Amino acid sequence: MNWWRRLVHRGEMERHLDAELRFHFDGLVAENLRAGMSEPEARRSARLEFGGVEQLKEECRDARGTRWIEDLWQDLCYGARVLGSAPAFTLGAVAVLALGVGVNLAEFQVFDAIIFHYLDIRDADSVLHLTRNSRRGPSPGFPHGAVEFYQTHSRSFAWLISEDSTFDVVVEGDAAVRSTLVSPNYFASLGIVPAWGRLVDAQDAQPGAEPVAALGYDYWRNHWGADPNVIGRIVRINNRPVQIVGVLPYSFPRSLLGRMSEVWFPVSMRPLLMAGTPTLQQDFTRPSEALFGKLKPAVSQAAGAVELTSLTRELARQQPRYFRDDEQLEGQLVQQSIVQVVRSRPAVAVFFVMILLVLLSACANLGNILLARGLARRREIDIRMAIGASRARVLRQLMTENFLLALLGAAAGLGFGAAAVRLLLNAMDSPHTLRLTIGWPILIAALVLTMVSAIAFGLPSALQSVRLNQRKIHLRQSLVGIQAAVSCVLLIASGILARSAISSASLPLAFDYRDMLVIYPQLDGRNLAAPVVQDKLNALSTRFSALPSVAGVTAAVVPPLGRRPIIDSLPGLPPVYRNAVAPSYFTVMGLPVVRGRTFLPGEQGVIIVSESAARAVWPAQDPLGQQWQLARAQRTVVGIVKDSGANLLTDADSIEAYVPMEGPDLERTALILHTPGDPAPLVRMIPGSAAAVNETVSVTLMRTSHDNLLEAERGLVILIGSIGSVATTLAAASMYALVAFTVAQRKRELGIRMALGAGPRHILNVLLRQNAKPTVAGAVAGLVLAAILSRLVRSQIVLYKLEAMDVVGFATGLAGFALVSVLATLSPALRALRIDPSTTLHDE
Amino acid sequence: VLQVQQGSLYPALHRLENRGLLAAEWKDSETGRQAKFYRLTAKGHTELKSETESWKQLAKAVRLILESSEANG
Repeated sequence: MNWWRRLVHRGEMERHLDAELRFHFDGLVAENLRAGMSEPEARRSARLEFGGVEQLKEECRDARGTRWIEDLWQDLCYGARVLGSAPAFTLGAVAVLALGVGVNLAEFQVFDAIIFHYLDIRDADSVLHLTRNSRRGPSPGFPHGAVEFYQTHSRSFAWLISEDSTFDVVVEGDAAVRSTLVSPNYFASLGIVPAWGRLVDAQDAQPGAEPVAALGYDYWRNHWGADPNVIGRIVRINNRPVQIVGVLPYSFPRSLLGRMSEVWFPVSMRPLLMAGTPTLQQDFTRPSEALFGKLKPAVSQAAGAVELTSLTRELARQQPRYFRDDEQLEGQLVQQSIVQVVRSRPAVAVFFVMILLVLLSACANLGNILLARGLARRREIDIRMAIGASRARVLRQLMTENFLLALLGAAAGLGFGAAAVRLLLNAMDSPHTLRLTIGWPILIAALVLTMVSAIAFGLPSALQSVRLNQRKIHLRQSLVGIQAAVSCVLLIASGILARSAISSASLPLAFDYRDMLVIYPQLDGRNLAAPVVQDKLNALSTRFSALPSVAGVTAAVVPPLGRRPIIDSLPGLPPVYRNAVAPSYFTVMGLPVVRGRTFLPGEQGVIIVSESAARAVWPAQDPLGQQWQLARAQRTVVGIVKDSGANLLTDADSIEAYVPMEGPDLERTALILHTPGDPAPLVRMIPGSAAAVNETVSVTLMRTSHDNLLEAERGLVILIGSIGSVATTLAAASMYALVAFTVAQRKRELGIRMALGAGPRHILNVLLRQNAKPTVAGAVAGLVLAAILSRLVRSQIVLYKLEAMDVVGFATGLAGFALVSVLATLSPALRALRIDPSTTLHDE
Repeated sequence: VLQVQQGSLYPALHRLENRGLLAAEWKDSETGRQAKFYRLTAKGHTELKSETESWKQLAKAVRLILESSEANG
């Protein structure tokens, strides 16, 4: 009979055992009878020789080798009964575990989705983003001429594609629709399948092809009522008839660079959409395309980059105006590995540390609950050991219960985690673009982790229950200490991160971005003479000023919060964000001039600096009247303005400088329009107003640029914030449980004290003193840990301006911890004050 | 010389059965009653041989020690 059958057919086994022993026993009796003994004598003698039948049976059962499973089953049944008989304890422990495990699972899933799986493309882990770098720093992008050059000559790439999402279009009068121009092989290479119709493909690049566009899924759903009949319809985009040919899948809402895009065009339509841009093949003037590629099998990333770099050398010979001969092409995976992510965003590392700390906090909490439970069961365990249960046996029983608890906790955690994921995704406003891709391995790993931690933290209390560990006071105090330290670190981290989140959710902007519109006239690349461009800009400005509720129009080469800043790297100085602006810029933007004056019309050779630039360049002198060599000219400082704050999110140390606009700047100029009212209606009027002077423009709300800038950080901030709230809950639960347990355990003692005349103050003192020392010690340890952690991440953290020792953040965290401790302590402590000495003493 | 309580034989038989050294089956005994008959399996034979061998070795070693101490003593 094999092992399994022996286990399953226990009844049969028992019958066989019984029959076997009885047969031999009866044999002995028969022998004795034959030897002439009387019947009772024969039985007595046989029993003596045979030994105790029940003991023998036990020994035989042990010999079967299935005993441990039977014991385990017995332990599990007993454990389940024990857990069921103490529902408050069970619920508490399971809730703590579920909170710790569930939230971690949820955070991890969302995190994984945000960082790793937002791209739903074929071969997502081998697509390279290619960038240009030279001694002058990174270049913005590639002109289309270069993209075609690489596509024709490269031998090491399976494919090369490009995208350009640098401009918005007007669709049927609906302004500021975000668009992306893509190379004809874009969707085919990425393996993107249309939701409806077809996507942009090679036929659209043929000469004389009809202008076409594909719609983003969300845009199609929200603005076109998810109507499949939209396909084939001709709509006016930038005042040109364009045929809608299809809808993108919902899983691909952003360009590879991560920009939301509502309409997708073939890149060959750029001249049509932007009047005056040159035909594509010859176009080296607009470096607006981002380049991506996938290497052929067995070609290394380095070899691919070397080939493209040498092709770029060739381009620099052919087009010296647009390419430098020291340019290097570098490839970076579009979908980064975890190591790269952590390296580029240290906040992510903080995030992981916090996740582990939450788990640790939950475990310490559980340890405490189990310890309390062990004390409450002391009598039961004493009895079991007194009637002969070995220590190992009782220990095994207790650990089986912990195992059961962990199993329940993990199951509840999974359920809770699934709900928490939904909650988090809703909070982050990105319900369907993220793919949750946590597979079984990670779920199982999470389960195992729960088991291991629950059992590791259950062991001390189990050991103590069987008296192998007599230092119970130390044990509890160290658990309280761990709990306090971890809670403290988490709350301080949340405090600091919440503060930086708040400051980054509202950039310290010195101008009112909500009331501003940015208009990009499409004047560049048309070979217009500077005076002509000036005239056109003037005509547009005059038109726009005449629109209702427009307070002012000004011009700047780099509109704030917009794309493509101009950055000068000067030795010994922080990066200088340079802008060329019209004299009216500071007035219209509402950027206060602190000292000096603004530009005069037509003035050259002057410069206005921000306060931070003034401090950085001339720390000990009066900046006004100083000379500064910037933007190819020696300039005199004529004014100091407030820091605009626009670049602080991307570059916290940046300083700013403004120069007057010159001829070559004009064609790249954006107009900035200020309105005291709601800018949205103006968005509709502006294209028509420009059309009246035969110009095409694209319009962006500065508000949109602002929100796009902050969107990226928001997800992480929400994640970290949610960890903080879980930490707070756990800390509160643990404090509550500790004091409630102390009250229950010392009820009798407290009753006696009260009967002897102890006042409320004395009682509270007795109750709180017990845990005060480890709590304070833990808090101090937490403070030190938090300080170390904060130093580690200080310099590189992505969130806006995290200071090394954010005193307010630390104070907030500590105050939060103190508040939570006091509040959680209050209710059970007050209950203790209501103890009635006579009934309490009577009960015992 | 050896006195073993009869009952302690059965747990030992069960252990050997569990280790696969013995096989058991229920058959009619000479008295006509069902009884459990044990026999050595192939594995049991090998095990018995090697155990016997090692016992002989031990016994030989003990005898040698005793004889040499008697001779010297």
